Amino acid sequence: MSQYLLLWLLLFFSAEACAELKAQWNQGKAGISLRINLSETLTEQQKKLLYSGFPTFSHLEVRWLDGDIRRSLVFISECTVKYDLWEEKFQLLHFLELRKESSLQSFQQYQDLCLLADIRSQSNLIHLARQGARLEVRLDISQVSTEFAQDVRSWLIQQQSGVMRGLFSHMLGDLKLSESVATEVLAPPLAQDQEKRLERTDAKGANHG
Amino acid sequence: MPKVLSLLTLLGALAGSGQAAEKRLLLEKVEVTGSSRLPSAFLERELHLVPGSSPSEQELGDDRNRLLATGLFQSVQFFLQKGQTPGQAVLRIELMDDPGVFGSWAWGGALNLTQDQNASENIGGEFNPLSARMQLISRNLFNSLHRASSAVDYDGQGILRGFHVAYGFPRFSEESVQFDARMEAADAQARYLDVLGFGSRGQAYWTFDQNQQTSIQYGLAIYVNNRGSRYALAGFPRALTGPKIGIHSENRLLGFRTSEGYSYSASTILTTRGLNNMGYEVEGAWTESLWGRSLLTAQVQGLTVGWESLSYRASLRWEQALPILDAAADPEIYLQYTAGGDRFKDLHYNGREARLGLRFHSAGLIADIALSFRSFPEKLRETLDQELTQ
Repeated sequence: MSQYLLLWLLLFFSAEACAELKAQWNQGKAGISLRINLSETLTEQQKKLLYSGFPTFSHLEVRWLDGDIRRSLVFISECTVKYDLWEEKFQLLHFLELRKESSLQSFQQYQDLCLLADIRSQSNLIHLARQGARLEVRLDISQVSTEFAQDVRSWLIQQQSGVMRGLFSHMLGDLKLSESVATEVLAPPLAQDQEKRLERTDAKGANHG
Repeated sequence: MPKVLSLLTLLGALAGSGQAAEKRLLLEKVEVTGSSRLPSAFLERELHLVPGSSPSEQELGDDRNRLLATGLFQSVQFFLQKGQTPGQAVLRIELMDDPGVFGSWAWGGALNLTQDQNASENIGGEFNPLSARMQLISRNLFNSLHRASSAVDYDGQGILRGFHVAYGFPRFSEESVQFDARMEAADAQARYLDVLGFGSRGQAYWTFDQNQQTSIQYGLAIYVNNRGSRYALAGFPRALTGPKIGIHSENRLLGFRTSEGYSYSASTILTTRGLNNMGYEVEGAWTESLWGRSLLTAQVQGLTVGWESLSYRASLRWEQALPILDAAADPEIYLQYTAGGDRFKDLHYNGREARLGLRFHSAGLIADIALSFRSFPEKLRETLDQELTQ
């Protein structure tokens, strides 16, 4: 009986592992891209924040990983949404650099817009297509914008007047301003024929450029 | 015509945004969970969040930010839910205590043990080389954001070599002003480098923030050298008392590990006896990250009374975080070299210290164990003895 239980546990955790984040190559109308969808990794607390009724900031970034060293940025996306308690739907307030107020039809639309890393940069794609790579994917969901986080820090600094100095060495170090998930994902190399297609696209782009 | 149209559109948009900003909620209930550091009544009084109130979304956002900036909480999150009465909302405030301090009064403590190796025989000979310094702080006295700090410094024979007590009014309602007071003393013979011109100091002043980094300070300062006692720097004026005004700028967060940046301050203590009897103080510090989790901090301090006397201290400190324990314990080693001197008329003292230490921070407590090599001015004892016999 205990063996069956052990086997069931192993299968369960393997299934959990399979449900982990994946990077998948995608052939769309606009060309080849590498997609990482973070919808499944959203934690309960992050969902709670999104439904809090206050403007909520989503910051998604993907970086190369070389050993344990984080390298250059491959993808970044930022958006702000607010759940309207009375209308029971999401409003998009900002997307990337743009102020873009509009209603979202569903939570799924928010996920497609803000939780999907769609890597299209040719220089990154060619490198990824040849060798594959380990990537770090980070999603921060917060009620406090990056700009305000800086203001909080400044305000805390102002409280360290000379007279009370020494008081603060015990605190103020680790404000938790966002609910974050950071995961590693293995991007597989692209099949050879598709890789050649990608290189041709890049060469055309270079000629046109 | 197009200009008029665009102006009308702009005015319409501004009016629209004004309406959006003014959208108010009617609160049916306010719930606070996760912390007992600030009682609900205090929050209601300071933030005016009571059932029946109708704050705007902007005001609620400001309230959340003010709670974050108290430094008591690691996390502050606001949630809205529909209330039982149509059109009314329930506000839930979820707080998470900052684990860097403990208890509802946000206590923190530090213990420093130092093994001294004095190079100056006539000063070091009589002292037990092991000294202990204990500090206790609170960021939230009486659960209402009063701030206080005190420390005592004993040598191995149980003789008090230094102390300080400091207190600060709560800084919550008025965010751009604060009041602090501090009294301190250090034994000039045993803690020469902790003394800047005067063995005993008392000061109390207001700090007005001018912008995100710079503030103006003014208040009262009383610097005293008790002649014949241990808390005196021989040769320096007996007392310097008067209104103190100054400017202070800082962009470093002085946590257990200081963040990168700089600070500087300059102040003067005014007296009616002319420029030659006024006190002038300057201080500057600069912290830079080196490789890995390594920090280098340089600091200088100087004080003059008129143009005849000068006291100065300078230090260079290197800190390296050690990856041997989990992040909660934060261990690090440090190496610090401090040098200082004092000049007053024909008197001239010099001292220096090299210190190697290990420190870590866990659950609100900082432990610091150090080995110190000191060289203090030998002339200081002779002068103090002479003054005592006169």
